[in-house]
Amino acid sequence: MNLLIFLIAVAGTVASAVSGWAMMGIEGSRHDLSNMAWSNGDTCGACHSPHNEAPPKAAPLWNASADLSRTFGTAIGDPVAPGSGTRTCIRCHDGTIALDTIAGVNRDRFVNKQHLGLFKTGHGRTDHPVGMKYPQFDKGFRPMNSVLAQGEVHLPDGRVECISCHDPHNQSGLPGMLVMSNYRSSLCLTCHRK
Amino acid sequence: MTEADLFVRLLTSSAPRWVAAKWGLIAASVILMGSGCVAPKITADPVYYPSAPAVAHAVHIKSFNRLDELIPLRPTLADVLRGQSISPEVAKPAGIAHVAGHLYICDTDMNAIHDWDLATGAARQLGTDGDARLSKPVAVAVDGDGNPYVADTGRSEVVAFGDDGRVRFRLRPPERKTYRPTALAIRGSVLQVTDIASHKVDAFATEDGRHLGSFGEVGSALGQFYFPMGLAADATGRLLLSDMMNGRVQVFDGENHAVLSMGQPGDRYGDMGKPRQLAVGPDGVIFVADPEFGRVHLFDNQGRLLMLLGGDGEQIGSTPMPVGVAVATELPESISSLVPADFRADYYLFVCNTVGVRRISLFAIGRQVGGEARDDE
Repeated sequence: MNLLIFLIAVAGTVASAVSGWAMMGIEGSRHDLSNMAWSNGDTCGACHSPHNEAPPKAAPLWNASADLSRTFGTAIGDPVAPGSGTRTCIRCHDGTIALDTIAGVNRDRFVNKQHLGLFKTGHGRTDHPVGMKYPQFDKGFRPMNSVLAQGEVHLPDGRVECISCHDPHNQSGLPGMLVMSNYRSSLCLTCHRK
Repeated sequence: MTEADLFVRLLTSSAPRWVAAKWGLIAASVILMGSGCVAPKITADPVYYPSAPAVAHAVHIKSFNRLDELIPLRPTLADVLRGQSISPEVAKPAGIAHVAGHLYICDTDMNAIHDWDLATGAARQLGTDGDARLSKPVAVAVDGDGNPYVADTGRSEVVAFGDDGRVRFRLRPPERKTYRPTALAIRGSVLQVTDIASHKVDAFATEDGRHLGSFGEVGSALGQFYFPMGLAADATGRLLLSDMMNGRVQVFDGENHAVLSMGQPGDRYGDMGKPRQLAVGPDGVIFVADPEFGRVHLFDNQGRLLMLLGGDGEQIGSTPMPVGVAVATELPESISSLVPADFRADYYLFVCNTVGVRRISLFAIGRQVGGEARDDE
């Protein structure tokens, strides 16, 4: 009986590893929207707009002298929370196209204290704020340098964003597109000192 | 007798001091709460679009979450003593519509529709009880009889309410396994609904919810679309469709033939990121909410870019990640009086933002007048 259980466990582990390997990367993942004939295999366009080098066809009629060279939207270094590592996600993850992860302004639990009422996420059975500065001087958290040195969790501009824990490109192939396994809460404990 | 008079009279009365103090505190509370409900005036300089030296065609009036941040509200004494909320608040706005003086706002956090009468301050919520309970209301449209229609991605159907707030019927195309309605528009007696599960537009009779047909197919050629996320009908009967994943807005004639396309994916003026909901002004100007750009694109009815409105950030006049837009041709004097004296407002635009402390922004659309002649048209 013990041998049978052992064999089933081994088979399950192998199957999990194989399926995980097969799903690694964005192709074939739930973020792969390129499987339509029209898209010519474009995987990136669903989330990233191309940068057009050619000048626009015409200047805005009501603002002909506008600076046409300015960049829009998810510019890197945007000082306003949440940053592009969250905004890119919530264009779809707002309950219309994909799972809703945006909080209302009047929630009192897990609200982002640095930008009151601004933002939090809620998905599955847990909530976690995003868009706030990493609390590196809080004794409940590990130093930011050690978090970054581990190389798994990302803190763009020193902030916690969606991409801190999730990899939308699915390089790890882990459930939930996590940046690393959360076995025994190892992902959580990368930042939280418990 | 006003509340202030009552307060003074109680303090100077011959009644025992503890009685006077008790009633004085109540009166003071009423006064303080009442005064707190008066809509604050603009204290900063108005924000114009486009900025000088171009002639402005829009000006930011107000950003708000609560009704009393938009119009003055005074609760009754009974409301205060009962401890009732003095003003309804929007937690997370998505779709928005303005019809016959009422502002309808989809709230995907409270999962309800706010119905605010901007003239009287009366407010109610739709979809909070029983079979009317909403799950994820993302778009709302209202017909000429005042009946709201709500696209609910959580319920996978469109819920048709009566003007009394009760459910009239539910709408869903027959024999479609998955259905995810995201945008609505009304053309006469026909309700048009986008479905991002099948990438089609369905037509229903507003009278009885009968399914009348559908059009559209997935693709990038003219007339095809991928993730239709916005709809609007203009005064000439054309249907405008926000083709999100193709980064453009398409215009369909009364026979559902595509006749015009504006925008393409990119980061230049005239390009679009992820266009969402649409609105059309009485002058034919097309408003496109684009959360990727963090702005609202303005096009004329020929598809030529007029200007961009709003912007990312928390500053006054910004529109961080706008998803919903609605045009109001007329607003109560308490709101219209906030328009700067040097601006002639022809109509108004409400914008719902995904993020930000104040998630609904109100702009006047028209033309800056007076001052130096610096017309660039």
